[in-house]
Amino acid sequence: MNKSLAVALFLIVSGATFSIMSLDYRIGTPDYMGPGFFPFFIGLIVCAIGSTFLLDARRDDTRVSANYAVGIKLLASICGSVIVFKYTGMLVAVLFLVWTSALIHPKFNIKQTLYLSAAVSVLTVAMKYSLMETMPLW
Amino acid sequence: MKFIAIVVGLFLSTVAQAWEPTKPIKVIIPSSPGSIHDTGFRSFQEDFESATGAKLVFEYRSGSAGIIATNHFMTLEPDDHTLIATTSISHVMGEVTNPELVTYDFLNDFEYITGVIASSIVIAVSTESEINTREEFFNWLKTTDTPITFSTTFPNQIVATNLILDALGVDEDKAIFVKYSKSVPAATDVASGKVDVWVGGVPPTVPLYQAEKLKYIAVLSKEELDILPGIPTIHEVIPNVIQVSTVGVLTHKGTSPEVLAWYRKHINNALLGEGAVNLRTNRFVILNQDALTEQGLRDAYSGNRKLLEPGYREIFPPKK
Amino acid sequence: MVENLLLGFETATLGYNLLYLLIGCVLGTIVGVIPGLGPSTTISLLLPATFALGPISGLIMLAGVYYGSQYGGSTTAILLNTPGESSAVMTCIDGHQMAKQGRAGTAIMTSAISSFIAGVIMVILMSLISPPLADLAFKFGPAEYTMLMLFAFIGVTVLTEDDLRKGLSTAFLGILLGCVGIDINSGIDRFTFDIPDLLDGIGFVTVAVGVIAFSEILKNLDQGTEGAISDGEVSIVPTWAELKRLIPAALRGTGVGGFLGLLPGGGLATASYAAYVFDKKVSKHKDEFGKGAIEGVAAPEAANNAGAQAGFIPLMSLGLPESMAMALMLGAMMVAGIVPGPMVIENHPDLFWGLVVSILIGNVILLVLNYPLIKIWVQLLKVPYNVLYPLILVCCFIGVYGVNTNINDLFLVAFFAGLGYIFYILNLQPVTFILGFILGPMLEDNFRRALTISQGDFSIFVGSNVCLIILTLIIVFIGAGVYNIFNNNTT
Repeated sequence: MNKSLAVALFLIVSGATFSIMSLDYRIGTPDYMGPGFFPFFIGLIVCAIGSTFLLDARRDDTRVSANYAVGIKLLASICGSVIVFKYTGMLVAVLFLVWTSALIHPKFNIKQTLYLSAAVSVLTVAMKYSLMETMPLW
Repeated sequence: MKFIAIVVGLFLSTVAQAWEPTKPIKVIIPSSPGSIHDTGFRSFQEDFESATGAKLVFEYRSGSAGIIATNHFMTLEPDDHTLIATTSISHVMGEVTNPELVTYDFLNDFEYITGVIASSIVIAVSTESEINTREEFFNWLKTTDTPITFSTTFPNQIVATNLILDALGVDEDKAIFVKYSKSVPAATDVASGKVDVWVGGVPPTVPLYQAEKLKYIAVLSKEELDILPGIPTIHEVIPNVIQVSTVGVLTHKGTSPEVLAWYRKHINNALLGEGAVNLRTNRFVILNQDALTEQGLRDAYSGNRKLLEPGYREIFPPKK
Repeated sequence: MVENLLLGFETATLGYNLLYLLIGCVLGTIVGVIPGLGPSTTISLLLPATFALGPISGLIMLAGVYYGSQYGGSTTAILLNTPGESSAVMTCIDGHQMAKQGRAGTAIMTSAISSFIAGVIMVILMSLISPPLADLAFKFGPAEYTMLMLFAFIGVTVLTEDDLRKGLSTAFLGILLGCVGIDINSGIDRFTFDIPDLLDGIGFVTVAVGVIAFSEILKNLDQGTEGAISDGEVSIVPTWAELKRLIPAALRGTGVGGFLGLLPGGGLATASYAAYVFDKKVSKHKDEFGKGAIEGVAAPEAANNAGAQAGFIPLMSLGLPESMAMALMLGAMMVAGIVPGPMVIENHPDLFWGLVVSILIGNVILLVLNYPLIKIWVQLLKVPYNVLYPLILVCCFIGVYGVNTNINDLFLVAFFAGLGYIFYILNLQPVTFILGFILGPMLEDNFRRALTISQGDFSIFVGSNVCLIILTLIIVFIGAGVYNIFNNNTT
């Protein structure tokens, strides 16, 4: 898929989604705007701009590429940490985050990560007892 | 027997006064800084805090005539440390203006503590406007061809304006209501002439009045106010528009009587303090002496509701 | 004027006021550095202290917090490409590039020096022409604010993106996101899917951390960044050549920010963007913008400080607070029985001038305070990336949670991290997205209001002189943007 096509699709889909969702609310007229007016038209504008990229797509030869594996792993690490936090507490979640994210890097070093874990644990506990009293630790 | 009665009485009175706040008191303000609610609470804040040692923390949630703030308040756990500021002319009508948004019964779902200030609705225009008196204002409403813009933050202002227009025989469509969620920009736009008329509370207009950017045309109270000498009331000409708002302190239903009594006592004391008196004078607001008790505040609110409901029903007919 | 300043100095140095100022600055810097804690939270917590300390001392401390946090927010923007405050978003662009080039210390000092320059100039201006400046605010009504925000979008888009279309579309997406939550005009909640936490809208920190910070990390991982962000020598003090570029940019930024800061309806939010835009347009070094141009840090930073100080003018003279922090300060004044208005300067000169001079002194304190701190901050950049980025992730994670201590913010930030990744893959800029998100609600509010006043007549947007001036600027910028598109497509 070439880049322009990807951009076009992304913009058209996002814009259209908002515009369609806006129809649930009153649109109204310019002098008596409803809550749906502004997002509806802005969504349309986004779609329109997205469509211009379709024209570009016909002669674009740059491919969309990225190291997807890395991206997905990092996102999984972040999402995982949130879920871990939900069932345990910040200290556990943060350690999970440190280890799962550090593992992604090719230069992963156990010793450095252990030091980091210690530092991060201290930080978390300090936060808990100073500013975030209601934060669960585990 | 008497002895026992005295002992029991003393015991009960100490128990009754045993409640003290243990953490900062959160106050939900259904508008923005500088508004009438804000002014009302600021007026007693300092004396209250120094007398009790308790702290007041303000949380502003403006929009939709206080409905957003009150809905939010209803979701909070009753913890004896959360209060909400309300006014007797807009809050009470939430069920009429936006029944689909309201999650409460205003007269029955709250404990009423005390009233903190009262303010008349006032009509003001930019100092650059050619209107100077009440009569000129009425004439202008009757004779102008172009629509007139009114700055509004709460629906009661729309109701009052419509009643005035009705009484003058002016077509209601001539009025355009420009809605604001914050009262200070609303007043500023009138002062700069972008919007024609301010029909609203006094406190947000005070700095602009002192800067000679706004002038007052009339008040909507029954009589002329001492704090605004020389500004006529329109009551003589348009008797069915009386809009005086009492800002009151409410809290969650079911809060125990000792807690309510504590708040009432300390707030009322603070309202008599020098700071409070000064602020009221500076901001052209007064105290509604009758609203300093629970029943008094309730009466002020339900009384205003009865007074305003017909006008509201015309403008906000029940939605099917 | 000299008596005023002397009175100010006397007040500012009275008793423990300097100590309170110092405490405020330190607290503010800490708060600004941690994304999630804003000056508003800190000021609300400290507000009760104003009673204990008295109005003047209390306000001086609060002002220290406010400025300190602006400053702290720029530090994280420069070091980690994570804006701690919304005012620091533009600083990320060139500031972080400078950090990567080993010039982090210079960037932070640039921020401090520019802010200081802005502070000095604003103090002088305020003492001379406060009342006429306040009148400027009256020229801006809903239509003018709408045009101003549009200008901010278009200006920033044209100047930070090669392709105007990409910038505008991300800006509009940001606006759409800003619509999530309760619509204050109608009271109806939009796009909330019945999730109560979304009723208040999405927090700035959540979006910024997700879209900028997390995606920055994704980008680095993707590219296989290994060493430290900057291995080599880190310079701290700007060279004379750099100062020669810095100072004019700071002066320009002060002008733009000082003017916009006077506008209570949203001028301050646009200040750093407009300053960046303006500076890039007039600079001789415009090609360097986006790659570590010192002006790219000096101009927005000066504009922020100037704008924040200018905000005191409508606050003090008309009681118009610009931002939450200002609103809280207004509250503090009212509690002390000081009613803002033109009388405030006459009736309480020690308060006004004491505050003004304290701000000046506060700027100096921040400059001096942060010099040793910079050496510490900059060590962070020497940490190898494979250790640094998990640390950043953790700090952001805790920071985002800390805003409301609500776990749902964390789910949201994960979503925005994903969105940021999509932006990265598609080569879309997060800066314009954030700009749209911040300014969107104000744009909608003013747009609606303007059309209500004009009864649906769009000519209100070209109705006043101010509108026409801004419109001309917009057309110029769009022209430049379109020209760029065609130029790029033919090369």
